[in-house]
Amino acid sequence: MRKITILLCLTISFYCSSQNKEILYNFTPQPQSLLLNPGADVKYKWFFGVPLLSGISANVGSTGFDAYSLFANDGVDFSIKVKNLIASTNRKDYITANQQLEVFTGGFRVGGEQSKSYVSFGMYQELDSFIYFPTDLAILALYGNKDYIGKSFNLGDLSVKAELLSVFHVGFNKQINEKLILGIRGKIYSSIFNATSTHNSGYFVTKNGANLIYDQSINSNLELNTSGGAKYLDKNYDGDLASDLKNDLPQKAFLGGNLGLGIDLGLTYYPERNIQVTASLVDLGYISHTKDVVDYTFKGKYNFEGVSEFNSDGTIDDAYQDFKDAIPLDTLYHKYTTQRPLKFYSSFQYSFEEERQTECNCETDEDSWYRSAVGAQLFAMTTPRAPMLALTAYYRRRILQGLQMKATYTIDSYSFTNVGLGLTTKIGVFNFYAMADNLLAYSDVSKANALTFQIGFNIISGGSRK
Amino acid sequence: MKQRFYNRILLITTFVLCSFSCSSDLDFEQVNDFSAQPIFTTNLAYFEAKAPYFESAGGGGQIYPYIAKVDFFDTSFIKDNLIKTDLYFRIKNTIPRGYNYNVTFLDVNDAPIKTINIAVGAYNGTEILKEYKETFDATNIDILKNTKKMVFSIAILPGTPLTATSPGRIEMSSSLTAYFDVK
Repeated sequence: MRKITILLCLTISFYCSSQNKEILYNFTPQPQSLLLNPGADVKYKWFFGVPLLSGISANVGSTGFDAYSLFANDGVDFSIKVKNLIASTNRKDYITANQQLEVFTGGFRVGGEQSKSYVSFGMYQELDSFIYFPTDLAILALYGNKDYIGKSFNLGDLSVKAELLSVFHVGFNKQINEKLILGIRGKIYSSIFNATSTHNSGYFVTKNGANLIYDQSINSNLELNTSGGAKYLDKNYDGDLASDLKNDLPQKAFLGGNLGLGIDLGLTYYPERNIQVTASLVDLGYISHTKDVVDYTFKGKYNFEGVSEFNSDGTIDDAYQDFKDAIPLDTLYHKYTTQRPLKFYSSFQYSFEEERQTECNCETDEDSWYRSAVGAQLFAMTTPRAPMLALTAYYRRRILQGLQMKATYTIDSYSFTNVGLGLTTKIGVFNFYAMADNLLAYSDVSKANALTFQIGFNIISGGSRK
Repeated sequence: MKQRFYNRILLITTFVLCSFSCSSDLDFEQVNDFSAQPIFTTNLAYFEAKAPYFESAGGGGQIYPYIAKVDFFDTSFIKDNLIKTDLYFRIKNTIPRGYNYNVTFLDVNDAPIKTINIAVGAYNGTEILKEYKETFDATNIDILKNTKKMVFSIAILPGTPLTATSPGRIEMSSSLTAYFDVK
């Protein structure tokens, strides 16, 4: 019980984030921006990322509460903090986690010196989870039903998904004409572990009865699908977890897991030389879970009448067994399919402070560029319920040759005070970038609702000044 | 020269970010202090019978012991966390006979370890309403934790025999309220 309560109420504080990478999006000096828009206006002769160091990103955040409200060392009883947290959140609050690590990445221009077609490819590992705050279940676990006569506890508040996967991808980016760039990226997903419980419904209600003391009933339609963890979930498992994981993970990561397919689509359009519009769809795909699948269901209806029949035939009434028979906790093994969280990005950018080249520079084929730009971005992502939305205003500036910055201000469900900053530098062919958002929260990170950072090292030949 | 300059900017920016980022003192060990005191309530038993049902009792006697398994008291969660239980009984009588409503708690050997007797008066023109509450707390909660079966029975007190046309009914409703302290 305690474990369940802790799981329901607390782990959420560690697993939280937004997947919006508003600083990296359309920050075209970075080839990694192609992962957010395969049609981004990125230029290079070739590039490759430093293995395991080219792209590291993690996001933490949550709506409704922060780590400080739960774990502050302030002498307040922890149980009271949990109660306050439950009182201040609702079923619309959520916690998501997203972490990505590029294992390798690279790209090259195809079709010769004058060509404006580019290929990029790579592999990254991703951890992705989304947990809605299970308000009614938390109230039931913490307080019971005695003081909630008449309340219908919504079992559908339970909505959880978590996935560890690796992604192999190849993208093609082509400048169609002076105004339009299109891009597409194909992906193969190899799911290492998946747990999905997002289509739950049902209720548990206790009302004052007329004849019975209570009219009490439960209608449960709960299901948890898992893949990749059957061995570890088996109650008879007694292996060495660390060594088993060490053997399993690489094999599943390199196409040995449950496989899926997806694509990214994107474009960049210049209606004027200094006006740019972009849009992209990322992770339009699915994963088919057929291997190593275990599903748990808790489905059925039951009216709690207690002992309610004159069993004069001598049989022994067993209401508890009747309940277990009516709503059995079943373990099944049937395959299922999950959709990847679909992300949509779009931006509008106005550039100014045009600079013209005064001497031949063989590193770039651009004859002019803009030193500064302002713009706005829209981000949307599908979730098990309503889409997650974010709106960003930004300012980009080329500070010096080889040093560019992008400052952002974002409004989303986590915060109205999200200021971010990204810097990318290129010295010769060596490129380093660092980005972080919610900078105002860095004065006390424990009170932040969301934090994001991304860093990476690449080797880039050529490159864009846009 | 330029390189050195913007390397410096990068360094300073990183330094400033790091200098200003700090965190309040957090104590994750608090999780071990977590406790919850949920209170759950549910029906325990419900019997309803019309007067002719007791015809066989004649001038008086024991009617049907009704046995219910309650081995859920034996689960580890109950054993570890149940600290108090209220049993509430509500009996309505419109039969012109008095009776005793008995609840007997049996252990694993079917031996009685607790009996509740509720005397209900005969109907005399006004519905008899009898309420009774039995509380098990720290001093005797082990009785419940050792209970495997509960026997519900009615002993009709001597009086005018009931017939197939006797009017009235009895209704026995009861509930269980369990108090937990989950640490």
